[in-house]
Amino acid sequence: MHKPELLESLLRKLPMGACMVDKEYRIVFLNDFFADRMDCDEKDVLGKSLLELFPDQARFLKKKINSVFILKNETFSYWEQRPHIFNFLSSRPVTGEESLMFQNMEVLPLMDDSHEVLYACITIQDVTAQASYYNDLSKVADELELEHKAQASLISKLKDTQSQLVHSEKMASIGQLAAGVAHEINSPIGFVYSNIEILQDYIGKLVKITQFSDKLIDKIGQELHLKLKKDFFERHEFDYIKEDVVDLVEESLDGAKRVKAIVESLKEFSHADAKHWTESSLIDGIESTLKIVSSQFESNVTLHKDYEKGLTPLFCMGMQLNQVFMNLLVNAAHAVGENGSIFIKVFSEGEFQKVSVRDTGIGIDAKNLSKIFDPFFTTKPVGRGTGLGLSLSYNIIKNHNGNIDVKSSVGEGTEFIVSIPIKHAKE
Amino acid sequence: MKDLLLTEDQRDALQEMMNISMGQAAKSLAQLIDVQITLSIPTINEASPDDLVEILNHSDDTWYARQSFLGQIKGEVLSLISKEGCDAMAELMDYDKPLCDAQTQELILELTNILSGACLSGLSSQLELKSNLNMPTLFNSLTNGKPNYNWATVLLVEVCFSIESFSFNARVVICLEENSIVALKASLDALLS
Repeated sequence: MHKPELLESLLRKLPMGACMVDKEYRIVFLNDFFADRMDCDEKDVLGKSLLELFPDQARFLKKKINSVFILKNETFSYWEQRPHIFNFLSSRPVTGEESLMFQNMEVLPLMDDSHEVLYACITIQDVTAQASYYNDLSKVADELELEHKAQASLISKLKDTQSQLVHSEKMASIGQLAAGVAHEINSPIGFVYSNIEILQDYIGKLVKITQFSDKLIDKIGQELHLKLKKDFFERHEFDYIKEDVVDLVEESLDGAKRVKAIVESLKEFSHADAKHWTESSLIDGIESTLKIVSSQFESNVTLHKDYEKGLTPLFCMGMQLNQVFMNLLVNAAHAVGENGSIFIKVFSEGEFQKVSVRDTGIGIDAKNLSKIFDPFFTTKPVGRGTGLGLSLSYNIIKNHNGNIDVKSSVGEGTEFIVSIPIKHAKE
Repeated sequence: MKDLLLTEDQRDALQEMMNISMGQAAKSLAQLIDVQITLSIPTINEASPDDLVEILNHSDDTWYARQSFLGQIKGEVLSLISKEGCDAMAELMDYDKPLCDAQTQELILELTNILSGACLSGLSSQLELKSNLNMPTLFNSLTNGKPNYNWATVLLVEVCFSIESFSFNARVVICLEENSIVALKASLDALLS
């Protein structure tokens, strides 16, 4: 056999498709692989336009072949972007699940001695097995990814639940502690307070008695007694004591009053008080609370109310909810200071009735936002807040199976939204 | 130890050759996509692994593709193609818009092949060194850490293509491995003598 014949026979038998076309896309050569997959005889298609034989890919093939003729370089196509250039059947008709052959294509320029491209040779590689394997693998990878995501979301849910659990546990133990403390302090502070009240009365009387005897000695006018009195009074700083004692008693009374108030809050916090469930309207609750707290609002603070009409009364612990509204309103008043606005909105949304208290005040620092419902957490000056208001409110709302949400940005203001379920507020 | 540094003469000759052949490549490119292409003057540098890491460091506005070549000179061509201007490029190259992911990939690979092909055939035809490009592939740029390359020096021949009318640009870097640098130097010497 002569060498060129040997080469042609090799080309024909190559385990990959080879098809040569001229500048006009006419087929000038087709090897066995290509002809077999096209299900035709080479002689039937020789001279025919490749673009007409494969009209679906004509535009793409034309582009590729043109580029080879113009640039005199190879061009490629990969199964991942364009799996089935030629509609050849799968090479695995029995065991494979795919119906078409996955193909990699390379178009080569065939040049003459003067470096002009005579033909473009299209070679097709059957990569069905690799492609299917790769596709299966990516499917598995996708599934794994999904599973991984599901797991991650479960883990974050778990963490949330855990932190909620820790929070409610903390609240419960603080509640017990508070109940104990409240009970212990309640009676001593009771008698201390009433004793100081009586003491205040007695002191007033004692001062009057002394003043009376002072005047009496003056009236008698005996020099010796006058001197003795003056000397005695001076030695015991009577003038100073007379004034200071009144202040001291007053301050003590004030302090005792504050301690009593804290004990009261602690008692409320630990639900020492009876719970009265009644039908009551949130709007009425807000209005009656406003009457009590309006003295807290500075004169330049404007109040905007937006009540939805026709809201039905809720089965709730009205007095306790008022306590919540009071806390929110007092906090808002403190936040806005001398100038600003407070917006109160009562509305229904889905299965909830909601109360929103929004202010244009100083806002809450992001680092404090997670702590505001913690007992004894306060940013107010000593004596102004107990740090129990919001944690008390939180518990009251939770007892209604409701929610209390807060949105805040520093310098712009804060909004608290209380949501109470319309049905089954009580378990 | 192999002498991998180019002499001044070798460097000048290589640069001049690249300049001529790239001009021809740009002409055929312009013929294919019918738009005026601006080319930078080719730069030639020896690079260490650290230098390459710098080139491959991740940038959000770039596509990365590579194409290896084999023959008398061996190595890889890296293409760094700007994401900006790709849509306009797709239109020029007769792609249907909007591009889906597979089409975008195909466009990038096609551009890579055209640009690498132009650069490499410029280099190999002038030096009469045969080499063939393989299929281009996309790859992820380096986001952290330095890979463990098993070479110390590569020769980088870099050309930038740009199309000003829609701010498209592409950086094509031919990386020659050590043995090919030796072959290249021999071929340059033969031409210079």
